Amino acid sequence: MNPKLVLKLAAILSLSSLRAKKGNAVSRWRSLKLIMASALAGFSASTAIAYHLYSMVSTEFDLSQPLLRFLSFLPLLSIMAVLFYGIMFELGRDPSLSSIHAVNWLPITPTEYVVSSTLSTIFFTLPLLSILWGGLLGLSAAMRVIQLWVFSAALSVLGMMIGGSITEVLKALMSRVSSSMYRRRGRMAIVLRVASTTALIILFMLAMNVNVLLRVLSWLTGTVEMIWALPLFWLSLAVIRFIQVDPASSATFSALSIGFFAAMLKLGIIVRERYWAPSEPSIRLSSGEYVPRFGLLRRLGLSPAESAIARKDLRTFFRRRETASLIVIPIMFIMIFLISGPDPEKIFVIGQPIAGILLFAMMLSSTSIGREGSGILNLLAAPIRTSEIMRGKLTSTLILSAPPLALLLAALSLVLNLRPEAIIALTIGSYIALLESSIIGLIFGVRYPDFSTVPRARFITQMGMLLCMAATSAAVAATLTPLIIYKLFHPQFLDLYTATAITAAIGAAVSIAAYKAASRSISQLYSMRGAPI
Amino acid sequence: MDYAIILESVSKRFGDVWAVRDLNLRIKYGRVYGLLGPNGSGKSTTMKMILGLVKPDSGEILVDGIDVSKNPVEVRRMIGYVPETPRLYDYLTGIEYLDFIGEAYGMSPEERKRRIEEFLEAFELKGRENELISGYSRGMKQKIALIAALIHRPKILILDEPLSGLDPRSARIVKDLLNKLKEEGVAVILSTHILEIADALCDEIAIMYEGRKLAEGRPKELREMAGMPGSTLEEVFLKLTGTEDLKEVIEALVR
Repeated sequence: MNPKLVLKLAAILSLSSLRAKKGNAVSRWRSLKLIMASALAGFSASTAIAYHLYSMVSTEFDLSQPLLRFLSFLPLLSIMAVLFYGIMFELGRDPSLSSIHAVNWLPITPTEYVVSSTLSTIFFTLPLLSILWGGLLGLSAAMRVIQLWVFSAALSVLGMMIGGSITEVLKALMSRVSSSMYRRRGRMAIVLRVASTTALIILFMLAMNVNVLLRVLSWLTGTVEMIWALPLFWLSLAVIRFIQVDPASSATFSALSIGFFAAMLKLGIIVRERYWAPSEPSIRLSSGEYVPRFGLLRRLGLSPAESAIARKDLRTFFRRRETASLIVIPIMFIMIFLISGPDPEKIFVIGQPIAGILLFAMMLSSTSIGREGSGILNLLAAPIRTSEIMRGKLTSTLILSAPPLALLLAALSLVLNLRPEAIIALTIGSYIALLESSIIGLIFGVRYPDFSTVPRARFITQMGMLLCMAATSAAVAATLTPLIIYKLFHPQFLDLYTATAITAAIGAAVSIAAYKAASRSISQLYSMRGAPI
Repeated sequence: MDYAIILESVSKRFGDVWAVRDLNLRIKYGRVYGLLGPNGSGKSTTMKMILGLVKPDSGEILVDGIDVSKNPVEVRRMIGYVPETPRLYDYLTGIEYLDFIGEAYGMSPEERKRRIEEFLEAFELKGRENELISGYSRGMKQKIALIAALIHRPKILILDEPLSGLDPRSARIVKDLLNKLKEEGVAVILSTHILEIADALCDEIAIMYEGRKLAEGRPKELREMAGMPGSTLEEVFLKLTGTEDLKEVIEALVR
């Protein structure tokens, strides 16, 4: 193994990954040195802050137990952080951008590649973990348990390496497994891919949730000694034994962890060697005869072009891994709602799952132009009017978001035992808000598209997304104000029917105005900047 | 209307760089018109301006008598276009993509089915049409792009490097098809770096360099214009673009 080559390759992989995350606002962060400097600054600042914070609150709170728990949790957290980052990056990656394809023709050994790739994955979790290391160092210094911090931090670094090497094993296996699965399972494989990606993102979001983390932490420190058989926990067990002044056990678990790392690294090298040049899967979706149809959308009055665009968007939506991040939005809102518990008196709690679907519609619409990527040329070069593009895009957004909203409203009505007039009001208000969110999303999607197809592509610029969210929130809030006033204050001058009628009138006016604005925006489609023409 | 395409004093700048400068072209129906030139000479920009994808800074472009700037959708209805790099939807299957294109051009379901199946058969894509485009090879993608340009029976074809990545059989089909379409009165604008193809296919050729049209005429006329009647089109091209003296370059490379 050539260490110089390994470091060079690790730097190149990190740089390409860093620069792949397109976005003008972060361009100054596309430098390895700046990432390192930010990690160092984060470490120093969090050390100082934690140290001073401790001196301010030490008389009121006993932080020794939480500190010991965190220090024992730190190595496991390091493994999970690197593992999640590595898997998330690989899942959001366009298969054609896979880093192995860029270098597998070079005179590089699998060992050199795997070590470089592990270092590169670790690198990106440095800023986050350095803040954590710093905070724990500050507290440890204040409580005079520096030696414990040194031991925990050292094992945390080892944990990062374990996480990185497991990531390498998973990356190689995932490309191999998905490749063979797609060949055999076709359409089902695509559904499985989106479903598994969605599940993984939800898992990641839950894992990053402070409440969930604290529950895991207390569970871990309460029963950790029962799970010595799980290698991922060996590092944390080593710290716990160190705290319990059991140096022999601590050394044993540390040594076992080093062995586990070596085994994972070796496994990563073996599987990478085996799948050095993974072939792109060729996915057959059907073997039936091609039968073009007139189609339901045409029967509903859409023009051929509008119907073609809507059907194309619907087909591609569930086949793209990137769209899993959009599917996650309503699911997360509904999960939060379920965790909180449905309460008809808490209007904002009831509104959460509906807001999730509105946000989903807005995101679908606002990313619909950017999701075209370089394929936008097909729409621009075909004899399609911009107004047809707009209606086609709106149709696909509404087809994807209106049925889940109907299901949700039906479930809410049943669970909350709503009165018929309340169901009518909720339905009218929700669907008008859905229409507004879809149209306003499209206005900003056209004005601020991001056509790049990099890992975790956003399809709309950050500025566009911020403006879009502000405009949609304002419009929806204005529309639903009569219903909210009725629900919160029960004023005498406003009954539910009147509130619903006013909401419908405001919603119609806002929707018409937004539709006109969207029409004006989309007429500029041919002169937009950054279009891959 | 004799002329399928007329460009009058068309210019386009990207920042400080002139992509196309004061370009005049007249392309008749039933002709194959070749645009030749080194990389960055303005061929692709010219094609995109004809399609209305890029607006010229000055000048006028008429396609079948229609001003592109005033009615681009009508113009596109009669054009089939193959871009330099196929821009397909990776997450559609080949058949779904062609069905989408056919519907976008307003073709009836029956006609779509007949034309698509004919082309799939001809380009040996039958049996692969239900696979996602993301798994296609470059040549297969190029074939799909070509079918998409041809299925709606365009009056005008704009082909930017159409034979790039094609196997010899498919390349031959495209060449024969272009000759057949020419006989049927279709106007074809073709850009290529393979000068033998231009020599064999094109009725007229324009040699472009740094956005300007250096020369225009039949291949034979170009040879005479360059004072090289017995030479290949490659030698004429290199002379006209001032890049014929390659000896020193080669020597420097092998030094």
